[in-house]
Order: sequence, then structure tokens, then C-alpha cells
Amino acid sequence: MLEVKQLSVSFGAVRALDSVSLVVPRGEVTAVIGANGAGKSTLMRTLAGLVKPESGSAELDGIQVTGRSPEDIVRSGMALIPEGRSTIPELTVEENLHLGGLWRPNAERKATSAEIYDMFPVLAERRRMRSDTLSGGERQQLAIGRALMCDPTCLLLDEPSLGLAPLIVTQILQLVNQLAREKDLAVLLVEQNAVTALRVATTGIIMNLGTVVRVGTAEEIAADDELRDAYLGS
Amino acid sequence: MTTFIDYLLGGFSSGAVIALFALALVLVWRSTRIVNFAQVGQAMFTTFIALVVQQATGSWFLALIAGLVAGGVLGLIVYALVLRPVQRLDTSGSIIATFGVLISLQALAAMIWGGEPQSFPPPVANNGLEIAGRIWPISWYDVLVYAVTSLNWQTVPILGMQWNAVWSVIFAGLGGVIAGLIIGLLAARLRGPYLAGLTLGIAVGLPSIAARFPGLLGGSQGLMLTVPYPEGGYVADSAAAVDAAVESDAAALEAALSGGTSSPSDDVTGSAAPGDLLTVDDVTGSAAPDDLLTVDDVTGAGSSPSAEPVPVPSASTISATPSGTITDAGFILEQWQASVSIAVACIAGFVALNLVRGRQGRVWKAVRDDPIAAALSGISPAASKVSAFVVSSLFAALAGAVFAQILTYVGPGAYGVALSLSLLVGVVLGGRGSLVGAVIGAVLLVGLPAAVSNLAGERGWSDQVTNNLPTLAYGLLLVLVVLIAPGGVMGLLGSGWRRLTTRR
Repeated sequence: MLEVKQLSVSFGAVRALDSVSLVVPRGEVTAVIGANGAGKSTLMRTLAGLVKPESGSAELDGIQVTGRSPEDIVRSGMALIPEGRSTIPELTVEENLHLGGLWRPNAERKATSAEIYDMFPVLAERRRMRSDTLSGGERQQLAIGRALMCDPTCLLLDEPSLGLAPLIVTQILQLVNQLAREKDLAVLLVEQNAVTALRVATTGIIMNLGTVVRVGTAEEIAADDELRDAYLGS
Repeated sequence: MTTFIDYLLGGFSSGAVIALFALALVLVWRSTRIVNFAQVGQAMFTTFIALVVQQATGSWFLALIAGLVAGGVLGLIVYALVLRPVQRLDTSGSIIATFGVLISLQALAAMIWGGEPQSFPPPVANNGLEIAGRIWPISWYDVLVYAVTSLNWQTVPILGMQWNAVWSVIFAGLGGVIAGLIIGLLAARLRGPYLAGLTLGIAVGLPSIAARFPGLLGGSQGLMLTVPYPEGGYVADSAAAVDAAVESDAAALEAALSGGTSSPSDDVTGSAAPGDLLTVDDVTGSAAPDDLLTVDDVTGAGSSPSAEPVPVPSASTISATPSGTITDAGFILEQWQASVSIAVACIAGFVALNLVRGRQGRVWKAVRDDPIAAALSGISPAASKVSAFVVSSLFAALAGAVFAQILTYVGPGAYGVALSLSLLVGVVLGGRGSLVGAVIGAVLLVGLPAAVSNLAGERGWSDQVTNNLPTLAYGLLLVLVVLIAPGGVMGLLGSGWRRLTTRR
């Protein structure tokens, strides 16, 4: 379980996150939705250790993760799949995947990668190809696979739908949902595409201007037209 | 004390100039994201123009105006022809292109005004122009070579004045690791242009620091290196021969060769241990198959340095020609040098290939391409950068140590303009980031200066032009390669190969 308490982040005079608190339980998807500039990506980057918080904390199963380096956070079981599917173009699919668990013993790493190939057959097919030859959807799967290589307990997904066809988005999000249930992962999903995100999520959180404005079940939020008009602009 | 103050003042003034140049670099960087190394060359060029105007008109004011205008015009030209086209390239591409401009400008200036530093009359000197003249020659130095030079300086006092060839290489390697660690730790948090700036600073700083300890490091003259002449060769079962080899000179070598102190010919199979660095066969002539290098005797009988198991492919090609005289120490020295450098290069190349293709190479690629993604994969970008610096310093140190063996002395001048240029051109020509490309580039560029000056010599061009033409060719080639074939030879080969394979 990921617990975020009173997390605040400032960039100069701009308050990007203003004492954000939320809980991401294991075994389900929690979706954070909101318009551009709501602070969703900042939240993710702060949790992953890429941005230093001004105050507040985040605890993963009771262990403090804020204030630690990104690589340290990954090793303690929380992996971020950043916006834009940052796979390493020059490396093959297999090499990219292995990158995600380089510090783990060889046997464990091989076992995990075999699991991931089962989960994403496309990656198994293309394991010897350079990752820049993959399609957008395949690359997103590779990015998710790489994050899974560290055997995480918590997965952070930043805008996985960006630049992907709607059908592929649905597929990937359903896969994420399945992952959360089967591997008992705490999944925090950030999306602009509210409708799709709420379809796979159990809980919905609406952010606006760096604060959490509403927490509720996904159905509740999806049904609330007023909310949608006010914060999602769609 | 006086000299100390001199140095201090000198340090302040060159520091100020460097700060000015740095400011110029940062300005260009902020607006275009390009590190313009041509800046220094542009400054030098405009200074020359200002000098010409001053000499023609006698007016300082006009010279200043001319210099400023020329600077602006030159800046526009460089921007339009090079900077704007390279903006679409990655950082290192633009760095190399601007380096090319720098080299070209310097060569052009030397062609037009001669290579000798010209004195600028005092009033303008205070404006920093004279200092610009003093600064530009050292801006060439690249950090790789400098790290090496300084390391060799460090190892000399440790070893005393007598250099043992093998030890010098080992010590340089150790020093390289330490220096790489220090630079790497400093640079771990830096990226792109800031890193380039740091390395440039080190490149400029190290030689001046080194030159200021004349007692210890021999000043700008450097230190003489005693190359151990192979006296009867390094024979495994003769420790005395090794000792003697270190201390020997050409005369001793001669005596040894004619006398045959420890003749390996008697037991060709027995004494040829794989660890031997060199075997000079005695007059009767025979080949020891396991030796890294075999110098055959005058008679040439049975000269068959065939199929050597050690990865020294070209060693067999260096066998002595029957025409070589037995007293020609220089000839044998060359063979020895070739054997050491080829052996070191092959071993280093083998290790480098394995490193790059292996796990560490993948980590380096990941950190270079996307440090954030690397960190998010659980890799520490800082540690990875430090390790890259350490390894590259180690290789550079090895190269420097071998180079010092060949030159037989260590000094700042030895690791100068020509070498830095060659290195850069070689790497870019072959293909950046490709080890095989680096080797191809090295082979290509060894021929370039000779070919270009030959051409100029045949046309009967003046010395001033002929001598500087190779440098101009280097510079233009750099710019052209970056603009037309950024991948170098390997890139061209690669795209050609891809075209062939996809057509099928």
C-alpha cells in the first residue's frame, strides 16, 4: 500500500503540489485524473524521487520513500513508467527488459523476464529487435515490462494512453488492471483520458491546481456530470 | 616570491580571459543549445583583423571598431553556415562541428598571417587581445590527452628517472583510474555542455599547472624517458637480461647483438615463453613462435614469425628485412615500440569491445540516452558516469604511456595540437561511438596529413600554405563529416548495409 501524506512541491514561487494526501491500496488501480497543469505528473515524479518534495512524505508499506534517490526507490519496489515510454532506442527488447532488474541475481532476473514474456507475447516475439523498431503500443508494453523487472509492489503509470490508438489504450489499461489483481500490485494511474481510466480503476481521485479536490469510487466519479464539467473539461 | 606573484598574476589574467570565453559559450548555449568551441578561434581571427587595421591606419579606435564588426560578421557567417544546420544534431555533433570551425579558422589565420605569434602593440593588449593570442594555442588540448600527460608526470617521480617500460604502463594505468575517479566524481552530476565545459577547463588548466613545476616535471621541456633497449631481448629464463635491458644504451645493445649474450636460438622451443615481450634473435637466426615480436637476424635464415597465438596480428609483418644492419639500434627500437603498442592496443581493444557489448556497455548506453529512464530502472546514473570516466581514463593513460615510449620523452608539447586534432578527426571519421570506427578512423587519418602536404608540395605552394593545409583539411573534414555523414565511415557502412538488406 502506498500512502501519501501532505506532500507539497514548489518550483520557485509556483506551488505545484499543495499538501496532497492519498492512499493507493494493493490489488487495485487508483486513477488520478485532472486537466493539464493539475500536478498529476509532478506527483508521479516526486513519488519516483525525480523531484524533491518541499514537505510531506510517501510511505510504501510503511517504509519512507521520499527523500531517496530514484534508483533506490525502484530497488525498494516502486517503479514509475514515465510519460512518453522512455525505452532505450539502441538496445534490444531483451536488453531493455534486463536493464530493469540489473542489480538482481541472474536467476531471479531470468525468471521474472520469462514471466513478462508470457504476459506480453509480442515482446517475446521481438526480443532481439531494437526497441526503436517497436510500435507505440509495443513500446508501452516494454516500458511496463521493464518496470515489472524490479519485482515491484507498487506501479506508477504516467499517461500511458499518450499518443496511442484508443483500442490499444483499452487493451493496455485492461492489462494493467489484470496485473494489479493478479500480482497484488498497488497501481497509481495518471490519465487525462478520464473515461478510459475510470473504467479500469476502483478509486478515482480528481486533482486541480496541485490539490486533491475529490476522492470517490470510479463509478461515482464517472457518473458525476458536474465534476466532469468543472475539472475535466470534457 | 617574485615568480610566485608572476604566476599568480598570470593565473588571474588567464582566468579572466577564460571566464570571458566561458561567458560567450554560455550565451550561445542558452539561445541555441550549442556549445560553440569556434568562439576562441573567432576571437583569434578578429584579433588578427584588428591588428591588420591597426597597422594599416595606426588608429586604435578604428582597429577596435574593425575588430568588433569583424567579430559580428564572422559570427553571422559561422552561424549561417554551421551552427544553424547543426542545431538539429545532438550535442556532441554540434560540439564537433564547432571544433571543426575552430581548427579551420586557426589554420586559415596561420596561412594568411603566418603561424608565429604576432605581437600586438600595447594599448590593445590591455584589452585582452594579446592574451587572446596567448590563449588560443592551448585551447586545442583535449582532456583525454591531458589527463594522460599529467599522469605520466605523476609517475615519473615515483619511479625515479629510470623508466621501466612495463611499469610505466602499469603506473599510468593506475594513475588513470585515480584521475578518472576524481574527474568522474566531479562530473557525475553534470550533463551535456556543462560536462564539456568542465573537461575543457581541465584541458586548459592541466598543462599550465604542469608547466609551473619545472623542477619536478621538467617544465615545458618535459622529462626524458629512458626506453629500455632490448639487450638480447627479454628472455624468460634470464633475469639479468631484463635488468640489463633497463639500463642499457645503444652501445650495449650493439655489443649484445654481436656477442649474443643470451642466445634464444639454442632453445627455440624452450625459452620462448608467452610472456616474453621481445626476442632479438641472434646472428644464426631463428624464430620463437610465442614471442610478441621477433626481430630476425641479418642472414634472415628461417625467418618465420608465423601463426602467433597472441592477439598481435600485425607483429608478423614487422619482421626485419634482410637489408637491415645489425648495428641499427633505431631500427630495433622501432620494432620494440611497435610490438608494445600493438600488443597494448589489441588487448585494450579486446577489453573495450567486451565492455561495450556487455552488461556495463548497456548501462552506459541507457544512461547516455535517457538518464531518467535509467534511474527509473534502478541504475545509478552518477555511478555509471564515474565508471565510464574511470575506464576511459585508464585507456587514455595506457595510450599516453605507450606514446611516451615512442617519443622517448614526456612534455606538454608532445601531446599537442596535431595529436588532439588527429584523435578528434579519427574518431569522427570512423564513426562516433564505434570502436571499430575508431580504429578505421585512426588508419585513415595517419595518411591524411602526408597526402595533403604532398599535394600542396607538388603544386609548389608556399610553405606557409603547405604547412597549414593539413590542419585546414582536418577542420573542414570535421565540419563536413558532421553535416553530411554524422555516423562517419561506420555510419555510411551501416546505412549501406541496411539498404542492401532491406532491398531483398
